[in-house]
Amino acid sequence: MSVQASLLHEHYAHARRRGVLRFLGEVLGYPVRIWQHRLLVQNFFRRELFGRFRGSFLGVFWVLVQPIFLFSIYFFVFGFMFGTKFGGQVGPGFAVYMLSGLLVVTAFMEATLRSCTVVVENGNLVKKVAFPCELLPVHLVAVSTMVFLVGAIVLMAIGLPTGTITPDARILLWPVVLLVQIVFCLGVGLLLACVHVFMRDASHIWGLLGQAWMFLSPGFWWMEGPDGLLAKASWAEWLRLNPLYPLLQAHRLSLGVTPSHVDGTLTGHLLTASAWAVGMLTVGHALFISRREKFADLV
Amino acid sequence: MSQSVIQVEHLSKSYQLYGSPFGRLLERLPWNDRPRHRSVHALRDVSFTVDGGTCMGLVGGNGAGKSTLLKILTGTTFPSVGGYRIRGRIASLLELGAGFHLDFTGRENIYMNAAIMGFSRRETQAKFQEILDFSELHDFIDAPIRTYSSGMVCRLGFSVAVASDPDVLIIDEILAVGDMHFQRKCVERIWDYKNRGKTMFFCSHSLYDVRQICDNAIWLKNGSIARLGDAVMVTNDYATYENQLGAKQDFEMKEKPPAHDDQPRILAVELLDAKTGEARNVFNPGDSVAVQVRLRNSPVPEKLALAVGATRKEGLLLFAHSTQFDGVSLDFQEGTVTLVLPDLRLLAGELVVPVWLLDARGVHRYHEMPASKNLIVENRTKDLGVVLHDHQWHVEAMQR
Repeated sequence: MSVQASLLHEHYAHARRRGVLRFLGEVLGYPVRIWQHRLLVQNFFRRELFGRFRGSFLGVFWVLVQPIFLFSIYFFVFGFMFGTKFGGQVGPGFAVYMLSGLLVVTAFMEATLRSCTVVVENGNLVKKVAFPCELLPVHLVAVSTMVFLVGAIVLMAIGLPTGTITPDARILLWPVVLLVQIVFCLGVGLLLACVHVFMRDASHIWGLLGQAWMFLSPGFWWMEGPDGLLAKASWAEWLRLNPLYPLLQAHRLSLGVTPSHVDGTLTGHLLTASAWAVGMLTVGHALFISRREKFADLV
Repeated sequence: MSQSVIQVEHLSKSYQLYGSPFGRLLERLPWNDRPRHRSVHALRDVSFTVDGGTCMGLVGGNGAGKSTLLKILTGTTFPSVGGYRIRGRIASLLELGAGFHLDFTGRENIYMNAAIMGFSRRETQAKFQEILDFSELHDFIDAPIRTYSSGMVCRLGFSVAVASDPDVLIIDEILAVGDMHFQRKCVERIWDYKNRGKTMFFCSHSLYDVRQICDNAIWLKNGSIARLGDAVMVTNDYATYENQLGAKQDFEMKEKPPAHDDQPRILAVELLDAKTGEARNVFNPGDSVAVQVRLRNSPVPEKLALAVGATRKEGLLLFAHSTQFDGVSLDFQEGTVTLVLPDLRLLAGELVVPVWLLDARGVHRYHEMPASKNLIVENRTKDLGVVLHDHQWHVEAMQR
C-alpha cells in the first residue's frame, strides 16, 4: 500500500546508475529526506519505543531503571569489591567514568545491532510498498539516543553532587558531540542494514564484534596517567584509532566528566569523531541506496 | 483522455538464485571461474500501454509473473531489461495492512500506515474520519488490532489504502476483503474510481471481476504476454486454456478399429464450416458446424447407425446425436454422412468429437474414432458456462 507523490515515474534498466561511488554525493540529500518524511520516522520511533515497553508494568520507566542499575553494579563491584583506585582514591569516580563511556558504547551498539535486521524485518514494506527504506535505521538511532539522553541525565544526577562531574562552558558543545554520535550511528547502521540483506550472518558477527569493541573503547580503562593503560602496554597507542575513542572522550570533555583521566583536547577529539561520522554516513548511505533495488528481491 | 498513462516497454525481469548465501560474494572474486547462480526469468519482454481512464486487467496462473509485474509498477523492485513510465500519482494496494503493528490500536495504525504512504499529518487528520467511516470500525478503533479478526484488519487496511486519491491505482486481488457487505463497498469504491476517469491496473484470479471492471486485459504465461486485448476476449481465452490444463485425467479417445477388414468402418472424420464447406476447427458460438464422416460398409452392405458427440477434455459428454435416434437409415456401400449443427450453442472450450459406427439397432460398435482435429469454440460473449441458450429476459414490476 503506497502512494507516491511525484508525477512521473520512470525506471529503465539501461538508464540505471551502477557502482557505489556514484552515490557518494547523495548523502547531502539524506537530512532533507529525513525531514520530508519526519512523520514516518516519528511513527516508526513511537512504534519502536512504545512497542518495546507496551504491556510491561513500568513502561517507559525501564529506560530510567537501566542506567541506575548499571551504575549501582559498577559502584558495588569496582568501588567495594575491587576497591579500584581512581585518581588516588576509592569512590564513585571510577563508576561515573565507566558509566559515561559505556552509555555511549551501549547506545551505539543498540542502534547498530537493531539496524542490522531492520530491512529484513520490514520485508513486507520493502517488498510491497514503495517507500524510502533508507530511512529505516533513523528511528532506531533516535530511540537509542533517547535512551542515552535519559542515561546522561542519570549520570549528571550522580556526578554533579559527588563532584566527579565538573562542567564548564564547554558543555555548550555537547549537543554537537551528540549530533556527531547520531551521524556515526546512522552511517554504521545503514552499512550494516545493507550488508545484512545479502549476508544474514552480519547481525551475529556484529553482536560478537560489539562485545570486543566495548572493551577496546575507553570504558573500563583510561589511557594516560601513572595507572593508565599506556603505562602498562605501549601498543595501546593503537586504540586511539578506534572511532569511538574520540567520541567517548569528546563526550567526557564537554560534560566535564572526571577531566583528570581524559586525554587530548575537545576540539581535536571532536574533529576526529566528526571525520569518522561524516565518512561513515557517506559510505554507508551510498552503499545502501546503490544496493536498495536488490532488497525487494532478497528479503 | 486518451494519452497513455502506463507505458511498459520490453520489460524483463530475472532473479539470480544463489545456491549458498556466499555464492554472491564468491562469484565476484577474481579467481572465480564458474557462475554460482541460476537465473530465473520472471518476466520476458513485456510491452503494453494503458490509456488514461481505462482499466487494464492482469490474469495468469501461479508463477506467471503477475506479482513481479505489479511490484515493478509499484516501484519496489526494478526491471532487469527495458522499463516503464507512469504519469501521475500512484497508489498501489499490493498488500493490505503491510506495516501494521498488532500491539497498537487501530487509530495509531491508521496514522502509521498513512505515514508510510507518504501522507502528511494534516492530510491524515483530514482523511481520518473518512477512513474510520469507511472501515466501520468505530467501536474498535482504540483497541489494539491484536484483538481484531483478520477480516477487520483487512477492512482497516483497505480503508486507509483507498483514502488516497491517486491518478493510477494498482490493485492486487483485494476484492475478497471482509464480509459480503464490505466487499460490496470495496467494489463500489473501485467503480467510483473508474467513473472518475482514474486509470487502474487490476490483477485478479476472479475472471468475472476482470471482465466486469476492466476494458482490456493481459494474460501472462511464464512471464510473457500470451494474449493482450479486450478483457472479455482475453479472459475467455485464458479460461479455455485453464480448463484444459485443469482437467487432470485428459480425455483421450483412442480409435477402436473393427476386428476384420471387411467389417464396416469409418474412413475419415472432418470438421467443416457448414456454410462454405471449408475445413475448419475453430468456431464461435452461433456458427454452423458440419461433421463429415466418410464410411465404407462391409462387402455385403448392412444397415448401419452413426453417432457423433462432443466431449470436453475432462470426459464430460456434452451431446451425442445418432442417426438411429433420428430415424435416418444408412445402407450404402461407401459414402459420407454429415451432421450439420447450423447454430452452434456451445461456449468456450476445446472439445473432442468422437464418432461411433454401430449396427442398425445401435448395440454393436463396429468402429470408434475421433475427428481428426478437436473442435475449438472461442467465446466472444460475456456469458459463462458451457452452453449458450437462446434466451430472453422478461421483467415485470409488481404493482402495489
